[in-house]
Amino acid sequence: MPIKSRLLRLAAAVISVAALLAVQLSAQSMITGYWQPLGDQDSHNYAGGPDPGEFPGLPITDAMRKAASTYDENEMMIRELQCRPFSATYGPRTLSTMRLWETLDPVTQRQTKIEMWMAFAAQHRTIWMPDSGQTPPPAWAPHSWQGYSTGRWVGDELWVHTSHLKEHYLQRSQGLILSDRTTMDERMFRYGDILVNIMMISDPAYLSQPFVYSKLYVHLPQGAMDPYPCQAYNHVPMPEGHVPMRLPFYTRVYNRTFMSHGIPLEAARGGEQTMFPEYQDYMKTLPLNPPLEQILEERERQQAEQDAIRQGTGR
Amino acid sequence: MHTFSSERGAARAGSRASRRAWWAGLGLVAASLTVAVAGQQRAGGTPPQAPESAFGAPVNLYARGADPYAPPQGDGEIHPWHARGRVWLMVGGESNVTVQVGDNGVYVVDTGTQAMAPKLLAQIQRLAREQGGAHKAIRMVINTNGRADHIGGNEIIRKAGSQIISGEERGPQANFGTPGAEVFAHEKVLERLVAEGVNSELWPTDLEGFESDSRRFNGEAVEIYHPRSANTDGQLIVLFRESDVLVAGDVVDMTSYPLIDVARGGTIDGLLVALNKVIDMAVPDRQADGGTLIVPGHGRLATQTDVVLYKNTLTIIRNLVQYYKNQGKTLEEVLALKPSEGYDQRWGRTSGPWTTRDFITAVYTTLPANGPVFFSIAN
Repeated sequence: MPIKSRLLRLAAAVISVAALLAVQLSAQSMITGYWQPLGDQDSHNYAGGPDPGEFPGLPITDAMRKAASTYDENEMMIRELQCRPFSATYGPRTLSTMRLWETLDPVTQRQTKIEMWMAFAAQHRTIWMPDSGQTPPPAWAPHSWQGYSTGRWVGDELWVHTSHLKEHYLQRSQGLILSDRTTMDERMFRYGDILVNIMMISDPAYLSQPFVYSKLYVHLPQGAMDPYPCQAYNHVPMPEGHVPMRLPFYTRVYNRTFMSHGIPLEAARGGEQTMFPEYQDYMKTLPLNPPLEQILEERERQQAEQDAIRQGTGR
Repeated sequence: MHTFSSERGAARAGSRASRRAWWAGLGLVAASLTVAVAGQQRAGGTPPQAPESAFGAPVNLYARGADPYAPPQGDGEIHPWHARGRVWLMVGGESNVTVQVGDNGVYVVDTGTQAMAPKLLAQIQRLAREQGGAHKAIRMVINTNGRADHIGGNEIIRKAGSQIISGEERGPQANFGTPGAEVFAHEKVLERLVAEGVNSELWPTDLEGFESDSRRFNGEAVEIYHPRSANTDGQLIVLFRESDVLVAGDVVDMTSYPLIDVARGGTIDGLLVALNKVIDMAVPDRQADGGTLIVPGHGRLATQTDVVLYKNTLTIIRNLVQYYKNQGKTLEEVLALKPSEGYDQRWGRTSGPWTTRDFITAVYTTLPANGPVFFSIAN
């Protein structure tokens, strides 16, 4: 075989290998840019929020239910918590616009990190990629709202694992806590202009099964983010050291949504069994709800009783 | 017609999407059939249960028995870890030890257990050699309380150090003083150690009965605050102002409910006052994140909002116990009502030296028979 022909074959082989490598690299999906959440998805959970005690479909434990029963929404007015943003387990599920951008190693052109910025409360998360050389924080390192995230590409899916999170909420307005031992695994991928983020949230303290949630975003050709300077104000005057809470008698579920649709209140208690379609068959065996007026009267009585205790006129 | 590369990418993605959608549809049909069959079997009064393999391999690390936040186990060594500024955390012992190094020498907050003291000393001396300034000696030890896991290394650490004494102090120090570094604590600590017959080599050598004190060491202000009756009545909180590191001692425990040593003067309301003080002394960074590093008596480092949420949890439990106690319920009745049930999975313990039962007992015991249900500092 002439030398020229052998060289051509060698060149062809090299080009083929290079092409294969290029295909491997291009398997990484381009997820950078501005993304708008699709607002028709479960939005009532993340805008005003559902009624207290509306937990269906959530794999919560009795402990979570018990902690939520003492929750008073004025907790958000505690001075030190007023500037608290959403955590990494909550922010991407809300109605915030999201910006994603990448940092590349200038020599290798490989991703070292992907950063995420949610519009509300300027939630800024960094996802460290294998080429970052970043050392994971030790067990005794402090936690943060966005935690510590590491990512890697598996085909065209970005797999992310997050740990070192502060205590936050599974559903804020209902007082469902996620402990600081929570971890989250995510799978992010694109279908054209749609970005899918599947979140799998695990908490040994408050979840009996991982809470799985998929969020869809649509690509925005351009966008901008406002800054979020935060200043605490005395919105709800309270004595120093006071923690807003509800007392134990205040645990009745008075859920207008469930009542108006005739859905048994038992189902509002949630738990992993309510995640499955066959729970609808089980609900048919549950007792009917009491009249709404009776529930609302009970709610008013409970409120009056707690107010009396707070003012020192009740016990 | 020319096709832009992004459009080709979108077309490929669309094609992949259709293939995936087909397989996903097939999967959904299969899953629906499974669910329908399972539903037929379960219909009639039993709530459905999660299938064992609902999520394939568990994504929950804890389900596999691995806790990434568990303290490092196994090597039995002390590992210095740079917290911030001049301050280091000595990791690996039963309780946290904090060390500040600089030109004046070494300042040690708490000395851990007696068993770990030789290893602790070796690591402090190594740290001083590698990170210290002009003077490498241990000058000052401070005990945040008088419990064995905070004063156990007092003797070994003190004897390895030295004080700088001059002038008229020389005589009394030579005749009556204790050689080595100064060991500083609240006077209540010594009172109790003497009363309990604890080995005098572990006693503090310098005492004060103050509420707050400030001194300068290694070029930074060191603020010391004494909450009257928190975990014990001899508790101290130490703030390294420039390094922005606050050593809270057992006032904050990131591994469990705080130990309230009723026999040594601890009370729940005093502890809540102390926690509010820690919160006041700490300054967060933007978005209520980061800022002052808080070293708890045990467990991981914290920042202000961690302590706020910890304090909220403890206040809620305290209020529930007071509510029940006001109704005339006995301790056993209150324990049966499980006032901490919502938080036990994170903070409670069922075995060991400080269980949930011990904590609720201490809360109940130190609250009045009929007091304000809602805690506030003004109470």
